[in-house]
Amino acid sequence: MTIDINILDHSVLASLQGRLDTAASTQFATDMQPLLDHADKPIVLDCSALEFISSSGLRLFLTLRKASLAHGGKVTVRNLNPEIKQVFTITGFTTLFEFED
Amino acid sequence: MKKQSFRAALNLWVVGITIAIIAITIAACTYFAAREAQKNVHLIANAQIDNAIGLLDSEMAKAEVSALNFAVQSHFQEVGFRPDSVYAFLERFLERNPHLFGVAVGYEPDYVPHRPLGFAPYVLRSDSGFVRNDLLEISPYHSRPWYSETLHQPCGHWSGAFVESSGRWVITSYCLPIADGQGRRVGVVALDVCMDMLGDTLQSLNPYPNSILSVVDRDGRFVAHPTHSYILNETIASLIEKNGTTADSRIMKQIAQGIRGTGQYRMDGSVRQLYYARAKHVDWTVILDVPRNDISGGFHSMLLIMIAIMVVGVLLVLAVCSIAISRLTRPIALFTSSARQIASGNFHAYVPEVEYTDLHQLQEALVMMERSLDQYVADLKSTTESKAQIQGELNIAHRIQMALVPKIFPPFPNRNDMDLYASLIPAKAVGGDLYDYYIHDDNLIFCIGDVSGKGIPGALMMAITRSLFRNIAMREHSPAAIATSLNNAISEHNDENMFVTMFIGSCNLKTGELTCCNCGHNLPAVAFNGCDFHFIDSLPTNLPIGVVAGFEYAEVTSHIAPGTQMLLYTDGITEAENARKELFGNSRLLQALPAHEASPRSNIQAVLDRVSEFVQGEEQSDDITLLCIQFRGESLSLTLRNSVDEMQQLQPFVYRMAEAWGIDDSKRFQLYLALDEAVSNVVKYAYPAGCEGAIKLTAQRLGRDIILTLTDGGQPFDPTASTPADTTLGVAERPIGGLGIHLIKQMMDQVSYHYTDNMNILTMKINIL
Repeated sequence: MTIDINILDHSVLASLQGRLDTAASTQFATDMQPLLDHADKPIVLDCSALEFISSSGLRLFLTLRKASLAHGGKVTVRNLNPEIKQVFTITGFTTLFEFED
Repeated sequence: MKKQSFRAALNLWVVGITIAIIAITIAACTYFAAREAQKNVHLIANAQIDNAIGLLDSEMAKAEVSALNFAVQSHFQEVGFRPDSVYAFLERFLERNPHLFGVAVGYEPDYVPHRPLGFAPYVLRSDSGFVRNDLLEISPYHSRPWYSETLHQPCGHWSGAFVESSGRWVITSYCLPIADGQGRRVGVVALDVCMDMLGDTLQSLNPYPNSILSVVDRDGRFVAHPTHSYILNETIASLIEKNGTTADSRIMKQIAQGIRGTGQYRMDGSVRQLYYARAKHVDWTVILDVPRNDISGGFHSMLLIMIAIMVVGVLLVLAVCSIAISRLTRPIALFTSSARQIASGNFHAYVPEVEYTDLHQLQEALVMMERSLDQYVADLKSTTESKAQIQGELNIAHRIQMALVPKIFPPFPNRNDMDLYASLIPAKAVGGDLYDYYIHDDNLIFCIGDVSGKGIPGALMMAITRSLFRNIAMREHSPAAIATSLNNAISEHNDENMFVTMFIGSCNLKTGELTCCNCGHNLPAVAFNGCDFHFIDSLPTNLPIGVVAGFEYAEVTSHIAPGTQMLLYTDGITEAENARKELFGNSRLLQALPAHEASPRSNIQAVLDRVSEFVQGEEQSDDITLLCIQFRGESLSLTLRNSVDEMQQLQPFVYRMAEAWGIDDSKRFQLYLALDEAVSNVVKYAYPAGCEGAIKLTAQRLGRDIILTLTDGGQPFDPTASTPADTTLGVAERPIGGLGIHLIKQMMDQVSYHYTDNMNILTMKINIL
């Protein structure tokens, strides 16, 4: 599981690759720290290469969303694959994020 | 109907019969006595009337004779006519004739000297002696009928009754003309007879206390009657009419005509009998009036006495009978008491001796019954004991037979590549059905059999067959070879010509290769790969075991997919009968099996429930045996320690599983997600911090389903019971976490949890097709 973070002046762009399962979520929590640091900016998460997500991964997404909300920011999720989109739907996470395809 | 006692009935009969006999006797006596009394009354009445007539006649005749005497003696010319001497003569005459009341003589006017107007002395009796009267002084007597009508008569005649001049007495007179020596009529003599006195004399002839003897003249007037005031004042008809009844005209006519007769009339409500006859001298009729009560009074009182005697007699009979009957029936009461004791189980109860022959027979019968019962109970006791012994032996035999067939389920708890369940219910204590199975080199070898015959012979044959099967199956592994050897071994010493239908199978639990040999047994029912059960009729049929030695048995081999189930049964199922003699049959067997995949145990239970519902308590006629085998195939398993790092092994495990069982990416994602969530739950929460534990993961494909099983030794936790996460909350309210279990339930078709042997077991099922 890898994450590429690109911090711009008025936004942050992150690209996620691999499987965000429980095993990977510990490392991912560390890797995503820059996003939390820049939560005052709009954040865009590109998930086109994200293969899997479990509830541990969803927790990190929610942590980021809560941090963003504290600064009045927003989190946009892009290019979710259908299975992951289904997970977002089932958990009601579709109401918490902006989605773009 | 109210029941009465034997004694009371007997009393009733005796008293009833006694009353009847006495009543008939009294009735007969009364009838004949009444007839005799009637006859007697007639005789007596007529006799007394005759006596009365005789008395009357004799009184009259005496008066007539006296008159004649007087006529002869009264030629006063010869003695000189002095009135005093005439009176004295008359007085002397009365003295000599006490039956006469008075005497009067009237003479022609010129006959008596110095008496130109005539002379008529009259002397009558009074209380103080005689009273002298001169009739001429009272009235001129020559014109009076007694004188004028008599004077020229050839003979005397009786006047009617009349009241004499004093008005005190009723008299009747006999008037006779008197002639002088030349035959010239010179006067008339009248002799008085007092009717009152005559009547009183007549009463002495009265035969009954209340009867009345009276005399009436031609006009029906009483001239003699005990009640003096009736005389000359009343007639018999007027008396009757005074009482409001009319006199019988026949009686009145007969009385008037002087005919002897009898008749009845009613007076004052009582019946009176009249007897009457004519007294010729005076043309008077004597009447005897007898009340019926006087006639029947005698036998009325006799009847009352007889009834009184009867009542006393009946009471006496009743008393004597009750005592006698209660004494006579005492043995019956004693026998009843003895019979009660016998009935309560005392077969040596005393039965009293009796004298009467018939009751003696009853006594003998009771004694015989006691002996028979005693003997019978003794026999019953010994029979029961021997039966109990046989039953005890049968119970042991039952346990031995049940021990011959494996009965611990699941039979191979460590294997999850197969499941198996069996049930044997003998119709009697022991039966002729059998089943067996064992595993040899990953081959499950199994059989079911039904011996021809039930009970002990069947059970012995079953035991032999089972033992031989086990021995032979140790060396031979193909069902046909086992069947051939078994057949040869059993045929060898089969003097009783018994045989066994058997189904022998062998299943390779690694490859799913199934080999079957059907030795004359019922068709197996098979559910392939999660489909419904149906019968397999394409197998070659062989002879039952034990029929012909040397028979070569044929077998068939095929491949079955994991999840396939085979149900074997004996004809005790298909031939189970209900009260209407209907058979359970094959189609009901298929219908009984659950529509969806179920475990062998629940399949067999469903069939047994359906059979029991079908027969509705009818007695089981044949042994019932069921054997159900499920081939589950290979399983994948993984054991992890409780650390998040270990969870890295999950992804390769899931991908390997998907590849092996051809699971598409979408279902693989679901499996992966559910496993990740389930394992992560255990890793994070099951064990206390710093405590190491294991998590065992097993995946198995059964037909269309994948079954995932997670087993851990952590603290008990039922994830299926947790409250569902609220997926509608906004960002601020959303708790971090709590979604794992929600996701598992969403991803999998079925999630179940149980805690066994200190292990949490979570089972998840998903349909991959």
